[in-house]
Amino acid sequence: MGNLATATVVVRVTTCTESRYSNVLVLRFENTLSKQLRSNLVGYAFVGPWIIGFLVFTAFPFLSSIYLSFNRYNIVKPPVWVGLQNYSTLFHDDPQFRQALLVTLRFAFCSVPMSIVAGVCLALLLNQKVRGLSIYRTLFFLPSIVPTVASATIFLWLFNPEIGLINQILSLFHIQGPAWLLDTKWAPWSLIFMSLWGVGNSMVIYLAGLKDVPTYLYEAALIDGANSLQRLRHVTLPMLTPVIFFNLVMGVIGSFQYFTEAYMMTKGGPEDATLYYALYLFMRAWRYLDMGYASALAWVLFAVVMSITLLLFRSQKKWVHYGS
Amino acid sequence: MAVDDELTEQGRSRRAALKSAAGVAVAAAAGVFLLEPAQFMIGKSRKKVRYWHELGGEWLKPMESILESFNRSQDTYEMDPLLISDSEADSKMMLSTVGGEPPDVVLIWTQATSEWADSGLLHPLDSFMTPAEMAWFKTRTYPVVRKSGWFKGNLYGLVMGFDLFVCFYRPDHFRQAGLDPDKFPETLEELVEVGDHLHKFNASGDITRMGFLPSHFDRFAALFGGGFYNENTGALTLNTPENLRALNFLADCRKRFGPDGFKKVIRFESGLSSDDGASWPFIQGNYSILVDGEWRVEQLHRYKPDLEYRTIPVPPPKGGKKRASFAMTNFLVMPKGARCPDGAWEFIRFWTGLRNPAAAAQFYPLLGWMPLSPDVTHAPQYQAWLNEVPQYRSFLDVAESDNIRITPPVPFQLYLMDQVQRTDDYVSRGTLTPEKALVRLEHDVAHELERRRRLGYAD
Repeated sequence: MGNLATATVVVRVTTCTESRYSNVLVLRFENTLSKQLRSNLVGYAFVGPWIIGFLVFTAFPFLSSIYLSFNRYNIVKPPVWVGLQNYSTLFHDDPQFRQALLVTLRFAFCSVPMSIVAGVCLALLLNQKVRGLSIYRTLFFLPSIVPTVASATIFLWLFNPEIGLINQILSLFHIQGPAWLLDTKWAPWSLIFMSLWGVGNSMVIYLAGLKDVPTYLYEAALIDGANSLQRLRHVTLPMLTPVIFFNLVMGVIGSFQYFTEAYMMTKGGPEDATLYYALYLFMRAWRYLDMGYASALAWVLFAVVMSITLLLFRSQKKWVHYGS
Repeated sequence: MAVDDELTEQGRSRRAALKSAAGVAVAAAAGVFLLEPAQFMIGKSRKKVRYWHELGGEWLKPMESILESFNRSQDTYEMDPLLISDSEADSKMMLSTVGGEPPDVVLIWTQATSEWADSGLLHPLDSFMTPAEMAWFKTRTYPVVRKSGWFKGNLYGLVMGFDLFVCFYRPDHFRQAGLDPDKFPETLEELVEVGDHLHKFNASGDITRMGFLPSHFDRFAALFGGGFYNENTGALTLNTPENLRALNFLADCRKRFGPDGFKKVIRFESGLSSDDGASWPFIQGNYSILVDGEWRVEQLHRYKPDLEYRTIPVPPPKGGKKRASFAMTNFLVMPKGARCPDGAWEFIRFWTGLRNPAAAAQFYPLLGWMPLSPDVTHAPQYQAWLNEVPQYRSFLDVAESDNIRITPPVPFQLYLMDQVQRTDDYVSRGTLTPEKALVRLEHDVAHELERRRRLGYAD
């Protein structure tokens, strides 16, 4: 009723100045606008909780952390402005920052390519027409939906130097396995190997990508006499590059946020060998109550991730093939 | 017109739906607010005291029993406990304090009272003490209790149990090795020699039973007269000859297992069962002599009462300190903004024994923790328990000593002790020599101090 009344008022006002034809147009326009507005309001009501949640729990902390990175702040007392001191200390006087960055870079440079190779290989295998394919696909995908904490607990047992399954199997071949997570040299590699456990997620995306490769390209390659390896090299992989690129970018971003496994399994040790950036940031924030410094760490991480992502985007022109 | 009617109808139904939804939301919110007091009301006239602790598992029942005793003793207050996991305890307490909804009293394990006091998270407790209580506290409590929990002249945490470390040993292993269990070594060097006789190895040279292996730099530094803090001057003492001796001693002990001694020890320790209940490796016979804490006595009493074992203070090295140890302290603290500070303080006094040491004597054996004062131990109830577990007397003996070191009360306690732990790790693994490890420790801590000064933190 309210909307109808509004429309009527508009009609009365407009009849004084405009023609009858234009009055009808205005009425229709107002009705449409009102309907649109009503419809939008319902939409806004539905997305409202998300928008409020985003503003309060993501946008506000995100923007606050810029300000806090220039402050001394321990969450209890009000922030005190220290200018660029946090950043200056980070770059000049913090050996653990450098160590954390190196550990994380090494993890990213090793685990991401390994995950891509493993994911593509698995997808190729699971793209074959064999009996029980859906069972194999489910089996390889399952680990990726196991909660990280549960996987970490299982891997703690697997990596146990004395009673762990990995070393037990190695001992069958008269090989004495390393101390894995307790060994400075092996601990980072243990976590890199462990990251392959969740490869099922990207495998599904590669599988979807493989389904998207047009059959006529394979037919053309066959007519040209290409063998299976050449078809893989010259048809499948190039057509898969957009998906590989997507997983590469997501993998790099994810690896710079690597935290839970290291927090649960090694606490950054032994001898800082698994002191990942996010773990160091967490320690500075919550263990040493240095939120300002941790905010500076977070923004440096943001800059590093953005730079690498931009470089990847710039590189895609050279190796990513879009379109069929 | 028909369209208009339809639109009107739609609008009406939509408004009705929105009204209903809003009605439900308002009713739910009102319900929450109306229910809240009823839900949280404890008793009808008693004030609730919100208490957070981490005592789950086998500790939960004794904790509940202590809370029940307090509630029975009270007309004014009643405890409202919450068990929180140790992984989230610290951050939960901090966030609740910052958010203005802290608990009234918390039992903390993290050795960070000074750090948290400096951050403004804790309420000083000495303001609640009567002069008589303060006098008793300063004269009648164990030395380690009376010097712990202070920061810049205020007491921020009252010790509720502290861990000391003495030797547990198995007489049956001694006899098997042809040693006399009544003649325990008098120096640390002799103890290491005895340990060598008690080790057992399999055909591949792997350790199957550890005779004695000293570990933990912080625990052994005190025996060599070292430590990390000068209580008189307030200065850090990191790279000192005493600490170097202690580290050299620990490194030498690892070398006794050969060039890959550290790996052998890691493999041995990895194959052991958990420390809980009857599966504790000492009970399982994996160790002959082990330096461990007082709570093990009650664990042995409860889970393996027939096991023959003895305890004795760790013998000092030649020229070292007798009855020396490093204490890990549990604290009862009051977060800033606690809504029922008087109730919290009443509970603290009750449990620790500040109100009535004799009455509190019944609680300490439940957890097997070290009491606040020797006065607690004089109670008949406590003496009866001591007669059941005479091994506990070694801990009470050490507790009287002035040679017990505590976590330095500096505002960067956690960073400092993490660096000490890292130093221990470097030396144990043979990555750095003890000399270099101590130089690095001093350098890293000095760097952190400099960083804190530049950022305007107080020392």
